Amino acid sequence: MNFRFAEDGDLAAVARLNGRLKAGGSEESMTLEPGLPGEGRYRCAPVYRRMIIAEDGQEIRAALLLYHHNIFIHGEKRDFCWADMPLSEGIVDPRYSLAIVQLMKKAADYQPFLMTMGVGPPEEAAYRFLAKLGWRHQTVPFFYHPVRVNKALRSMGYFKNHVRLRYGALLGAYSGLGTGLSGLLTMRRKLNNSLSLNLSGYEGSVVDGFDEWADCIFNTSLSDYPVAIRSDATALNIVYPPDDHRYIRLRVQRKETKQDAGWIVVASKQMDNNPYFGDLKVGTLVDGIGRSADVPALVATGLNHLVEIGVDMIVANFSHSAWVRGCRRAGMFGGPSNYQIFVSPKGGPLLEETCPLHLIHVARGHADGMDHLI
Amino acid sequence: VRDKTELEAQIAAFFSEKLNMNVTSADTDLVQTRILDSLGVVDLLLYLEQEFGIDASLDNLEIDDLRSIAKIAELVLERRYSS
Repeated sequence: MNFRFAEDGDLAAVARLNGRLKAGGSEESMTLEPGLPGEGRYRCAPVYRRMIIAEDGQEIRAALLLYHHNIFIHGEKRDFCWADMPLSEGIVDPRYSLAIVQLMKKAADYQPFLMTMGVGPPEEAAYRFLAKLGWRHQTVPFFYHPVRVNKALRSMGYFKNHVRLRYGALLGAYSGLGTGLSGLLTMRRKLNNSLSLNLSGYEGSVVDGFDEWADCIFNTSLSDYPVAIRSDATALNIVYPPDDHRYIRLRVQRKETKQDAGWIVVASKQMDNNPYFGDLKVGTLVDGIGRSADVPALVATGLNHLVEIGVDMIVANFSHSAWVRGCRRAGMFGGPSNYQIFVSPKGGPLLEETCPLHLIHVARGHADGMDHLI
Repeated sequence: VRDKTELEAQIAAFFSEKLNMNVTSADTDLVQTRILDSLGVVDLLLYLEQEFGIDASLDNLEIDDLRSIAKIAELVLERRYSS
């Protein structure tokens, strides 16, 4: 087995790998566009993604995306890679079971500081695989805000898959209880906005992209985040490129002084028979940063915008204590989470005793977390 | 150097006790019978490292080296002898 970074000429072999996976009954597939959406605008993008492959003759037996990024730990900038979408032909043909193990080893030799997000519940093979490799892990809190409770009760897979909950949900949806709840939740959110969050002191505006003002926000906010992914304008315009209109970038300022308070990126997707969200239009709080005190206002600005564009349900995953608090204060509910953060053994001090999850700022927009939500 | 048959018995016990897989013969193809998947490979490599002090770095390792208990025992003998 040969291990190397893929080149453009390897995409045909990636497509053949996808074909063999499909023929073997797997729904997994590797992207044929490994680069980040905004990478092409830079000759040497500081944030970029490359595919590393395990090659057996002319065929690729395993692949992984190494998403090169920077992380600030107590103000010190370090390189790391998100290890996105690990995929192996071993899932349909055991002759290649070793390929993904070897590939992960090669990836860790290349960049010892690796992280990945998502992964799923402990019974998932990927979860057990990474845990066996000695990666530290924690569950990233999940938050939701049902905008149209009736529709959410009818559509969500969670209710459909639990018989007793299903009947309860249907009863709620058709008895009018759901409609009543929608009204109550709207009222709760609006009361939070005006009483608790003093949202009238802030104003949010949709912007096309990030600029120097985003650099300023990142630099002034960093002292509130012991661990934060690089979020300056350059990095943000690569991850959420200005011409990608699926992402809505909200710049939040204080009304009186016009000072920047922070930004939040949101997105929405009309689901179609999704296993979790059925046919709901789901809004996501994708990413954001600002001083801790301003975070509830950032979350509320994101929620209000998503409500205005007509989503049925709003979801978010945040780990940092200011964002966890911000979600609750803005009227979101905590829910069961299967969304993990895994850190490779050499990724210290993250998730070690001195650096617990609540000090680390990660969001759904990091790594490949938006794959099914955009 | 440990006797190969003794090693095979010890490795078979690992499959039985740790992976809940009874391997009927030292020559059973662990890959074709799907006894060894990616998770099993990780477990096995960790076991070889802990139990026999073998460097479980995966360089120069092929799936054929892990294809049967007999092959794994040969790998242990070869790598321990050469280290």
